[in-house]
Amino acid sequence: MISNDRFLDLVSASDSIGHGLRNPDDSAQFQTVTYADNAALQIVAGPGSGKTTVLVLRALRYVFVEGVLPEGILLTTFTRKAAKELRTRWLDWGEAILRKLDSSEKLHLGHIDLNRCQIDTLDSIIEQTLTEYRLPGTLAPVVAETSASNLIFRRTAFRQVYESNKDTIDDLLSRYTFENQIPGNRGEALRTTKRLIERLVQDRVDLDSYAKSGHAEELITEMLERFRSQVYDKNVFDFTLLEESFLNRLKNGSLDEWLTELQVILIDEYQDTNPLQEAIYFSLIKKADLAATIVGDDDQSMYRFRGGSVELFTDFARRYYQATGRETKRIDMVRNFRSTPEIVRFYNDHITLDHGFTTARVNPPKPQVIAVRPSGGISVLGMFRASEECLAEALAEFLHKLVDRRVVQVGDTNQEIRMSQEGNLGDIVFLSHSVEETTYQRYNGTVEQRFPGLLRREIETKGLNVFNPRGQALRSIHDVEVLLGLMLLAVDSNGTLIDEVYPTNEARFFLNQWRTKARKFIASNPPPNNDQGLRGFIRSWQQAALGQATKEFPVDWPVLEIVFKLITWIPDFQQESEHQVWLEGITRIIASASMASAYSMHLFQNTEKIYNGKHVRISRMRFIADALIPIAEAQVDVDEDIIPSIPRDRLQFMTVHQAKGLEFPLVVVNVGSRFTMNHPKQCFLRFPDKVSNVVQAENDVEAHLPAPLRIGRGAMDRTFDDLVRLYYVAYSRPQSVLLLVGHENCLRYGTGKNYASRSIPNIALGWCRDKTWPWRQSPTGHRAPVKVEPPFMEI
Amino acid sequence: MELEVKRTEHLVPSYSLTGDLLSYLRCRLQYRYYNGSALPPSRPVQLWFGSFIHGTLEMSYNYWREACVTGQEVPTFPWPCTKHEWQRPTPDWDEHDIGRFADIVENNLRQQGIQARSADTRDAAYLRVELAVNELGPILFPLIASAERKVIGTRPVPMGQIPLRCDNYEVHGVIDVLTHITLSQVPDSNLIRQYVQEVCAGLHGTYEVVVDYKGSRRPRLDEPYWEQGDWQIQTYAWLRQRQPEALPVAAGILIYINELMPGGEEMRALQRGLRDHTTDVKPGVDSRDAQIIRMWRTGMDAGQLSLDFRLRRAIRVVPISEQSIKNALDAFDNVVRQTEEDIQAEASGLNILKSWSPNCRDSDTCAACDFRHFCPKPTDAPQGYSIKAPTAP
Repeated sequence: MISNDRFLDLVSASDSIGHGLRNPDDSAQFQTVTYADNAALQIVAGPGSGKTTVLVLRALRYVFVEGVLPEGILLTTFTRKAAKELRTRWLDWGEAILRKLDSSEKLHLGHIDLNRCQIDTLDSIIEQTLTEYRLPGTLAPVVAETSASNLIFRRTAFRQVYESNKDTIDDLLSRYTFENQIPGNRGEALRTTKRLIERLVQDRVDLDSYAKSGHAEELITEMLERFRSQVYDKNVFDFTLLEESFLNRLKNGSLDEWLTELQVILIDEYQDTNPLQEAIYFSLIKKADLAATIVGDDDQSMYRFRGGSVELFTDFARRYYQATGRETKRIDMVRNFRSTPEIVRFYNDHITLDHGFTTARVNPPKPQVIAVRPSGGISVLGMFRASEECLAEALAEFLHKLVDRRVVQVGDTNQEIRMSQEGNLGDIVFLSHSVEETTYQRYNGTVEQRFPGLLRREIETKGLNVFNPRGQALRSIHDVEVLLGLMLLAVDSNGTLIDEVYPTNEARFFLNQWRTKARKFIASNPPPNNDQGLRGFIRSWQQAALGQATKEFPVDWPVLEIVFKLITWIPDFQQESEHQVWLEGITRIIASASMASAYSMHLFQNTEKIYNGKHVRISRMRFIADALIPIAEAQVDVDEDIIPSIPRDRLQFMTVHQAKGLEFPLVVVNVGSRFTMNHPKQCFLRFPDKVSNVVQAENDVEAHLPAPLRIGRGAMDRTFDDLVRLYYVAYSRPQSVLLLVGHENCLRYGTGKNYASRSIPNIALGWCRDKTWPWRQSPTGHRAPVKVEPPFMEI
Repeated sequence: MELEVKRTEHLVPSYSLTGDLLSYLRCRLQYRYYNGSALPPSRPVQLWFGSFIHGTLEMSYNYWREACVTGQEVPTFPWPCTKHEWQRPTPDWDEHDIGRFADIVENNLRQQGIQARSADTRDAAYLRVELAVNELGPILFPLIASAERKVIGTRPVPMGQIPLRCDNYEVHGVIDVLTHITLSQVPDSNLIRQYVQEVCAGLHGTYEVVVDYKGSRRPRLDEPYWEQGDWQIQTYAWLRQRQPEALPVAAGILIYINELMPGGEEMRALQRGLRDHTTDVKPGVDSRDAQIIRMWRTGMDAGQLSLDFRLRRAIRVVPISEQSIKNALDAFDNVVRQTEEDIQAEASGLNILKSWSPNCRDSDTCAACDFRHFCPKPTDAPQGYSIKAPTAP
C-alpha cells in the first residue's frame, strides 16, 4: 500500500489523468477522492463536474491506499456506454499508476490484477453473477429482450385474463395511456399492462393489498403471478424479474460465496435507481459490509418512465440509515469544467427561477453550478423563425456556413464562431424531445414530416450528412419497407393471411405500403438478375405458401435465412452502417420471436414426403403476427450502439435522453419548432395541463408500498419536474455554444390581464409552473409588447 | 471564438478469445456481421451442439461433485443415458441419468429458439455426450478444481501505421475445466496423466492443466484450426497464470467431442488425413482400426473403431512454455490490431465490404455462412467470380 499523498502525487504525475486534484479551489474533488470515513459517501455531482474522474480515482485509491483488491470492488452505472468509459479510464489510469510505482511499492502492489474489478451496469452484473453462481442442477438464466418478453407475457398470462375481462382491464389501463383513452388495440393494451406489472415489481408493491383495491387490480395481479411463475419455471427472464430473482438469492444466502470477495461498492447515476434496485444495493451493503459511495444529480434524473425514483437519491441519507443503521456524508461537486460561464448561468437560471421546483431538489440545498472555464465571449444563442420550413432552412444555412467557410458571424454583432481545421459536423449535435423525421397520423392514415425530417432535407441539400438512425421508425425507411415487403409478398402473395391475424388499421396501412414498394422494386429487375433473379425467387416462395413447394424445399426453413438472401438484391444492407443498424433491428425481432412464437420463425411447406396442411398457413401467419406487425406498429427500437464509431462528417440527431452524459462543442436544442399556438395536445411537451401517465401509475401504487415514497410531492409537480430536468440536461451538454431553436410564436409576449392569452407557456423557455414568465420585461406603454426579451442573443 | 474539436473516442475494447478473435480468423466479413452488427445466425446448429455438450457435461460434473461434497454415494460409471423422445412422456429417470441433465439443457436452449437441426443430429449428440461423461468423467472429474472459470487480462495493441482508437485491449475467456494435478496422487492408470506425461516429459509436483471441450472433430495439421486451438490454450494459460491463486500451468487439453463417436464428416476427414499424412493420431499399421477406416463408406457406422483409438483422437495435449505462450499472444495481438484497423477503415467512410474484405479459407464455414449469397470472395471461388441471384428456398 502507499500513502494518500503518494497516491495523489502519482495521479498528478500521470499525463493521462491530468487533473489538479490538489487545486485549493476544488476541495470537493479532493475530498471525494480521499474520503475515508465509515459513513457512506453521497456525491451530488453537477453537470461537467468531473464525476467520472473522481469515481474512478476513488476506486483506484481503494486499491493503492486501502489495499482493497480490484476483485473486491463493484462499480455500477446506468448504461453500457457509460460502463465502457468507466472501465477504460480504470484500466488506463490504473496501469499508468502501476507503471510509476517504485520497486519497493511494486513488491506489494505489482501483482494486482486490475481486470478483476467488476464495472458494468447493474443488470449485466446481475446476469453474470446469476450465471456464475447458478444453483446446483440449474442452468444460467436466459434474458429475453423486450419484444420476446412481451410475446411470452402475451402467451402465458395476458391473453387468458384479458380476453375474458377486457372492459374491466381497459378501464384501468386508460389511466396509463397517452391520452387517457382506453387502449386502441390489443397490442397497446398488452404494452400498457406489461409496463404496469413492471412497476408493481420495481416499486415492490404489496400485491395482496393492491389486488384488494379493485377487480381490475386483482386481474393485473393475477397476470403478474402467472407471468412470474412461467418465467421462473422456464428460466427465461426479463430484466425486472431477473433483478427480483437476484434480490431473492441475496436474501436466501445462496450468493454468499460471491459476497465474500466484495469490500467496496460505488454506484453511478443513483438518481435513476428504482426501489427494487435500491433494495438490492442495501442488501449487498448490509450482507457484505461494503463501503458505499453513491454518485448522482437529482437535477438530471430523467428515467421516471422506466421506474427511476429520484426520491431515493434526494432522501438517501434517511433511507440508508433506516436500512443499514449507518450514516451518510454528502459532498457537492458544483465546479463545472465543461461549459462557458454564459451557458452555466443560463441553465442555473433555468433550474432556479421556477420556485415550484426548489422543493424537489436535494435538501439541504446545494450551491449553484460554478463555471471554471473562461468566457468565450458568446452568449447563449436563439434562432426563432416563422415556420418549421424557414427554421430548418436557416439552421441548415448556419451550419453549412460554419463547416464550409469555417466561420459565421453572430447576428449583427462583430462576434464570430470559428471552426478549426480539424473541426467537422461531428462536433455539433441537434437535440430534440423526439428525433422522429416522420410520424404516422392514426386518424387520417397519413404520414407527416416532422422538423428533424425537414432539417435533414435542408442539410442534405447543402451537401452535408446527417446521422439519425432513430429518425424514422423502421416501418417507414424506404429500403426497410422494400425488404419487409418482399418478405410479405413471399409468404402471403394475395394478402389473405394478413386478415387472419387481425392487424390494427395502422399496421395494415404500413403492410400495404411495404407490399406496394416491394412490387415496384421487383418490377425494376434489380441485379443480380440471372435465372429470373428476384422475381423468380419470390415466385418460388409464393408457390410454397400455396402448398406447392418444389422438390428443393425441405419441410421447414428459417425466416432469417430468407432475409439474408433477400439483401443480396439491396446492397446498402451489406455495405452501409446505418443500414446495418436497421437490419439488426429487423433480425433481432425475428430471433426474439423465435423464442416465444409457435413455429419458432420457421416456415413449413408441403413436401413430397410430408403433407403439412395447416402448418403451411399458420407458420406464415405467426411470422406476420409476431415479427412483421410489431415493426408495422413501430414497437421495435433500433440500437445504434452497434456502430463502433460514427463518422465525423455527420451531424448527429439525438433525443435528450440519448445525450445524457455526453458533451459537444456546439449543441442545438429544439425548444419548440412545432409550437405555433397554445394547443392543448402539445401541453405535455412544454407545459403540462394534467398529470402524466407515468406519475399517475406512481400515485396509484403509492398506497400499497411498504413505506411512503413519493407522497411528499404532488403529482402535478412531479409532472412539471420531469420537464424542468429534461431541459436542464439538454442545456448542460455544450462546451462553447448553446443554440436554442423554435417557432417565433414561442417568444410572444401575450395579451390580456395575465398576458396568458396568445402566449405559449413552455418550461424550456423559462416559464414557471405558476404561469409567470420571468423573461417578460415590464410593459412600458399602454399596450403589451410584441415579444419578450429572452436571455439569449437572437440570430 | 473557436469551437473545440470533439474529443476522439478512446477506449479499451474488450475481445472474447473464442467469440471474437477466433471468429475473426475464421472470416473477417462474417465476423463484422455476426459480431459487429450482432446479426443472429439463421441456423444456430453449431451453437446448439456446443451448448448441449458443454451444458450436459457441466451438469453431470456438478451432480458428481455435489454427491462427493455432501458425502452421498457417488454412482459408479457408466451412468445411464435415457433420451426423452419427442412427443413421448418424460422417462422415469434415475437422479444421475445423463438423459435427465441433457433434457434440462435442451429445454433451456429451446427457450432461446435454439434446437437440433434434425433427429439424426440430436441422436448423435446424445451418443457423444453419453460417451463423454462415461469415458472421460471417471478420469477427468476427480481432477477438476473448477469449471467455467472466467479469465481476463489487458494487453497492448501493437503499434502500426494507422492511429487507432485504443492503445490497450482486454481479452477474456472462459476455461471449461481447470484441473489440479499432483502427480504422486493420481493413479498411473489415469489416461489424462498418461497423455500429459507423454507430451510433457519431466513434469513433477503439482500443476494445472486447462481443458477445453470442442464440439468438433480433430483438425488436420494443415487446417488453421489446428494452430488456433494451440493459441487458444496458450492464451488461457497466460490469463490463468496472472490470477493470484494459480499454480503453474503445465499443459492444456483440447477434447474433440465428435471423435468419441465419429460421424461421416469425421471419418472423411480422417481418411483424407491418413492419405495426405496430415493427421497426427493414426491407427496402428494393419490394426483393426486401420482396416475399419479404410473400408468405411458414407452411411456406415463408425462405432466399431476401438475406444482406445477414439479417445486418443479426442484428446489432444498441448504443452505450454514461455515461448509458446509468447508466440500465441503475439498472434492474437496482431489479430486485434487488424480488427481495429478494419474498424478504423469503416469509421473513415469506407464501406463494409471493402473495410472487412472476406478471407475465409474453410469451405465448411463458407457453405454454412448466412452471407455467402452476396460475399464478393467466397472460399474456392473461381477467378473473375461474380455474385449470382440466390435461388429459393
